[in-house]
Amino acid sequence: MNLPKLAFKNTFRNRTRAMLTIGGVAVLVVAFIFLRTVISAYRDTAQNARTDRLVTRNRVSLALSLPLADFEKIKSVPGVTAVTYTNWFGGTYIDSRHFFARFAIDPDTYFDVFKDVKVTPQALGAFKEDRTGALVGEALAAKYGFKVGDVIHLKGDFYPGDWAFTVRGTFKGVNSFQDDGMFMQWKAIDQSLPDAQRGTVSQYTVLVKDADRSSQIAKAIDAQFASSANETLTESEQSFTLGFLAGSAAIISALDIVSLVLIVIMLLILGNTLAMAVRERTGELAVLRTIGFKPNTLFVLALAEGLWLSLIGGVVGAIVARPVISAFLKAASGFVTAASGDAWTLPALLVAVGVGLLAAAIPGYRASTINILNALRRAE
Amino acid sequence: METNARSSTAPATAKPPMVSLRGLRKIYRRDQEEITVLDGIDLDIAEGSFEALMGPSGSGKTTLLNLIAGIDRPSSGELRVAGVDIGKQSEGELADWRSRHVGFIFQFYNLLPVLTAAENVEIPLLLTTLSKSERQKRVRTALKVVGLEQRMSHYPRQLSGGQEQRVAIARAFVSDPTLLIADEPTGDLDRKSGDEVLELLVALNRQFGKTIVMVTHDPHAADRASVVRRLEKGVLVPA
Repeated sequence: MNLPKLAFKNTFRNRTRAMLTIGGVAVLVVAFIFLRTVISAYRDTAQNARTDRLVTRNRVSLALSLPLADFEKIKSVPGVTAVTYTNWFGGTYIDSRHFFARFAIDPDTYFDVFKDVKVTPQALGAFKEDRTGALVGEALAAKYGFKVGDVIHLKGDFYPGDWAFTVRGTFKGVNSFQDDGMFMQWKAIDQSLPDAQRGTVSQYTVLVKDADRSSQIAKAIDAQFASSANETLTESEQSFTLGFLAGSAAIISALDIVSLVLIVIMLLILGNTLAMAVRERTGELAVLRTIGFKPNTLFVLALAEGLWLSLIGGVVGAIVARPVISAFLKAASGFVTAASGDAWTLPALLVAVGVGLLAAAIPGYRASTINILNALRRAE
Repeated sequence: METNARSSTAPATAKPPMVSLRGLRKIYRRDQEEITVLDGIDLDIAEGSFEALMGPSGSGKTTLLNLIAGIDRPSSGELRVAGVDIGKQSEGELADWRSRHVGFIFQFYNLLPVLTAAENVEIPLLLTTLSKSERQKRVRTALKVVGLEQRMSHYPRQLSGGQEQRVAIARAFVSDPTLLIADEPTGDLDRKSGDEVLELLVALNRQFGKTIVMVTHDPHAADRASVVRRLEKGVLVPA
């Protein structure tokens, strides 16, 4: 026997209540890890974006395009090293559950701007040679077993019709969003459009020589098109990504608040259990005080009970959270950069333990300040 | 000082008293009203004696017992137990003092239901610096003394009332305290179990020299003590 064992035995005195409390803590820990991972995944996606790359899009809306004719003007802006353009293809592969990013790119310029996207010269050469060719991300290729020569059939939406692209190689993207994606040639989709709609791009991506001058260069690009029919908005890739995720910003903020609410709920659940446990054992606490236990020893015993409940609940929650987070990250890999659920396991455990100790503080104080005589009388 | 001492077990008078009370008063305040529970008690209890405190309900005997045990404080007067003026000690000092000097036996045993008999007996030893093996040795010895060595791993719910009280007695003396305090130790037991408990207290007094102060309503129980004192309305009267 020792004090931690005494606290442990007291923790499980009312087994049903202890198990329900541990279950509650575990569920809250799972939810906490899940929410924090989601929030981190979204924020990491934005933070991983580079500052030496600028994105130029239509000032009015991302949904409106820009003329291809702007390409040379942007390239001529001092400080610009390389420019490329992309269109979001969209479309459906098999059905809506099989979502992955599909971009129409210019193979001649794309990899000058996205130098961090790795593709072999052979694959790039084969892609350039085939107007209906495609490059697939390594993660996407692994997911669907795509290999060179396979034909990927897509049902178009922005670009109507049935499309067939032949895999000509794979690339390693800079993040899971890219790595789980697919490139086809911009020219291929442009040619499918009526003449009046041709020659437009969704956005330009600009590589600048000096990231510290990104802001001035962005202003210079936009100045080129001021008062034109297609005014532009140029911002860093990071700002653009943040803006792209802005639709989720309110949800992310709400998740931030909810994760705090979870901590409060955990505090209340543990506090309630511990308060009941101490109240029910007033007589026993008085006996311990009579035997010679000091007030601070009873306080520590109550803290130890809080610790046991929160630690066991936390560990169970952390174990359960792993497959839940993995499933989420797998499902969301097309939207967000992969973040590790493990990153939040230790913080969640520490939060649970901290909450357990905090929840035990008031019952512990009550236990340490009981009036021995009153408590003994009540026990009898 | 009012006593009814039996010559056969009379304590030695040469030693300083284990308990010495002088002008001890205990007053409770309820709203504006003052209730005097103990009114100027003078009392000496010799080391190695077995004393019974009797008296009607409300006479102040349990209050006196609690004061001697150091779980209550006097309103005035001197309260010296085992050479220490416990009336002037802080909460922490009193707790330490109790752990070293007092073993408490309650009417309703007050064992911890989640602990086995052995673990219950071991509790006071958790406050000492004894090693685990030393603690276990002492626990085994204490349970052997009360005749429950074979019930070490039983939980209180698996024991009879008499057995529970014997475990409580083992818990009270396992740390070798100076003084054993018993508040109606047979009050919740049938006659047979009560007798076993009283036999045990007598044995602890005679064989191990433990000083015992016992509150009881039961004259049969009081008969086993070496000294019987009687309290009425907060003062000691002839027994």
